[in-house]
Amino acid sequence: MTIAATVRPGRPGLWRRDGALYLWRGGLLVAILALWELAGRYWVNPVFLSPPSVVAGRLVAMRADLLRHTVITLQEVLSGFAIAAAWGILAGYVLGANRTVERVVEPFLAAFYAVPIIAIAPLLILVFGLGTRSKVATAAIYAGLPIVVNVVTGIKNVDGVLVKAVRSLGAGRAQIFLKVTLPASLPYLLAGLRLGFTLALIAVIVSQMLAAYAGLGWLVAYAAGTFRTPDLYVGLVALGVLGMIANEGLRRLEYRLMRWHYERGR
Amino acid sequence: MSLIVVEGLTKVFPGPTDVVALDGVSLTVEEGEFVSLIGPSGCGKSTLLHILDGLEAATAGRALVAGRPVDGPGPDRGMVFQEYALLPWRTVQANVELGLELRHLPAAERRRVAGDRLALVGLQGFEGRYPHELSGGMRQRVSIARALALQPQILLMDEPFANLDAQTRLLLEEELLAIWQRTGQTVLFVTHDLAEAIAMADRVVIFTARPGRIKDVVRVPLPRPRDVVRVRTTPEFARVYDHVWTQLRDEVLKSREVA
Ligand SMILES: Nc1ncnc2c1ncn2[C@@H]1O[C@H](COP(=O)(O)OP(=O)(O)OP(=O)(O)O)[C@@H](O)[C@H]1O
Ligand SMILES: [Mg+2]
Repeated sequence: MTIAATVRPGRPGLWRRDGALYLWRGGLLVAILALWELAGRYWVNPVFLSPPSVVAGRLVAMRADLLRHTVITLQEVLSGFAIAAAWGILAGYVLGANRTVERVVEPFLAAFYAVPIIAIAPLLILVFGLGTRSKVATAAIYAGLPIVVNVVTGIKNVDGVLVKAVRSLGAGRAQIFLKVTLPASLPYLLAGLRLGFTLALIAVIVSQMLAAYAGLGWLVAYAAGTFRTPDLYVGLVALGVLGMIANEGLRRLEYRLMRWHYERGR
Repeated sequence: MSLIVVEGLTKVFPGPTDVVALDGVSLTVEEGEFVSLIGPSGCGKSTLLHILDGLEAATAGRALVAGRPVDGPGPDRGMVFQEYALLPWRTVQANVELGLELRHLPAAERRRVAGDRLALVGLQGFEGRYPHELSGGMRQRVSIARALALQPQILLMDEPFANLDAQTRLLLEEELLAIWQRTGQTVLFVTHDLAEAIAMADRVVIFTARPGRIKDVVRVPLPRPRDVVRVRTTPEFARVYDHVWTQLRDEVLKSREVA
């Protein structure tokens, strides 16, 4: 299995106190918004592109609705992710500890991972209905896969000499697991969780877009289907902000827990 | 009976082409003895220590410690790994405490012992650092402190001073000899440094190029206690050095032909 997430995302730098960087980023943001505004007003058909001023107006006008859709989406993502983390971590350590089982299962896992979410989502909607359950199920299944794969990779990459060292000092099987395997695989696990969270978000949005009563995915699909372009952009902005906050938050958590890992070999 | 008895020890690492790391090695080490192992790279020195520590099983032959076949690690033996093998997520202190922790010693006792051993290797003040914050030589000393924490009867040391600067190295050689003299431990000491091997040891075991066999065992008739620096200037030392080098030279040349 080679589909492990990057294990060294480096120091999270999105909100680093770095004046020049801030300035450049702010400048770029302003430039993008200005260009977008101009394009939306004068150059592009308003069915395709709403200028930021219009989007901002819609965002304020529909804030109650937006909040509701966001909360529902978050609930579905978090529930799905929680289930995914539970089975992913468990399966990962079981497979990692049993090389033979792992080798038997590996191609199935890889094949499953290779099927696009969008192809499986309709089936799960069929099984679990249009409501929250099908969203949670899609996320739970998909987000678990990178977690399993990463944990297995992490266990495979445990330095053999560390295992020898703790054995030499008297560690039994359980102690080897607790003192070496677990901490050594933690960076991989956390990277897997970060990847899993992104997949959970994608899975929920896809499922909402296909068929749902609510959620940001539904909002975007519905807006597009009814030519409410500004609403569509409101949904997209909300999704972008949500994804960015989640990813950066997880990276910071990862970095805090894994200082020894990232600062090694500098 | 000798404390360590190795008889006809053979180790083959199976693979596409089997690697014979040790080929019929026999050796006895008396209690309280300091024995240096020297030989070309890849001749199986580390493998021998790993087998004696119980980390690796022999393919054929026997390894006895205190009359009992080795069948796993034990607190009677402490190993200093060539690769240091420190846990990167643990501080220096926590690394040294590891063996005591695995044996469920109370925290206060662990702290005391670890502090004591760290002082011994000259690392007080570095307790809270992580391995990646230390130089190679400092890591090596942490690894030595960790092995000393359990007060093993036998110390298996795999090139423990290889990455130290020359001065620190002399100091630690001196320190190790002092510890050894005080505790009466038995030491198996792998090194590539001929002078170090002789200055430290009662006997120097010379290995052949791979497959590792014992080519010769040379007794070092230098008096104890020794000054690891001044002993090197004695005529007796020069004689032993010349003898060991003559034998080792052939093997090193051989191993270079193979490689
Ligand atoms: N786990 C292993 N699997 C396969 N081959 C191994 C393994 N460990 C050691 N070997 C091989 O066995 C031989 C002896 O290795 P060993 O590490 O004991 O040599 P060494 O004398 O300690 O060398 P050096 O002086 O370079 O440390 C080498 O050829 C090595 O490649
Ligand atoms: Mg070696």
